[in-house]
Amino acid sequence: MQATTVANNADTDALRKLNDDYIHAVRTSDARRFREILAEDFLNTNPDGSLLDKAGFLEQIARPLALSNFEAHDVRIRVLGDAAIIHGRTSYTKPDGQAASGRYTDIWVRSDGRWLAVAAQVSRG
Amino acid sequence: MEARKLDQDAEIAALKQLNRDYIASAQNSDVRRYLGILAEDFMSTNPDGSLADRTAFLERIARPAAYSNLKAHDVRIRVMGDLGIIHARTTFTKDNGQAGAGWYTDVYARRQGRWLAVAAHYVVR
Repeated sequence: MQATTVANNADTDALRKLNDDYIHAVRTSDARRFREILAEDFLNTNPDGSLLDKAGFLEQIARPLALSNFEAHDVRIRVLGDAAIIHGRTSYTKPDGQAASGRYTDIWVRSDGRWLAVAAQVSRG
Repeated sequence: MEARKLDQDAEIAALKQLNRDYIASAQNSDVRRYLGILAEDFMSTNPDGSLADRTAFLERIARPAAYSNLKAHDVRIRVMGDLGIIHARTTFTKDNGQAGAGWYTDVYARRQGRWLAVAAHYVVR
């Protein structure tokens, strides 16, 4: 029981760090970091409803971000065995200076002891 | 190898049926069916940006749907061990007669041999 609790805390800590990296990589258009943390079969649903594979997502990420002050809040991490789900809220400043917010759900899978993102959905509002 | 492929096909078929039930239950405000589909720890990110637990989601479902002809399209089902991920688009008719569209990511976990929805993120336009 004790060991399980400790393992779960370690998983939550690892996923919190990966979530920080994910948000930071969006902010800095860091496709290189994304290449490491996304599974080969990663799929992302964009706010406009388009569904991108890993290559399409990396292309999107590599473009300079049109938003500023992009941050995550209320990050909720759920570990379900070898899978994990992260629910979060985002806040950012639009190019016209207006404050805006969004939501995301990221899904991670542990593969060979390493967490990789397999799916994400991002929405605005 | 062949047996594994057959198992995978069976899991995808089971998730395809659950996805149909999920959509039909949303259209028909069928709380009872949802009780059999949603895990106790289910969390839904709603179109308004709220994050609802199972109880709040069921309360929302119990209200009559403000749309008709809800259908899912381009349903993409992935099974990764005890995790199932569904990406899809929706179309529907709003109460004012206008065509509506949306998209979602649903996440299922296999628990004691049974698939249960553990997370959803859906958006409508």
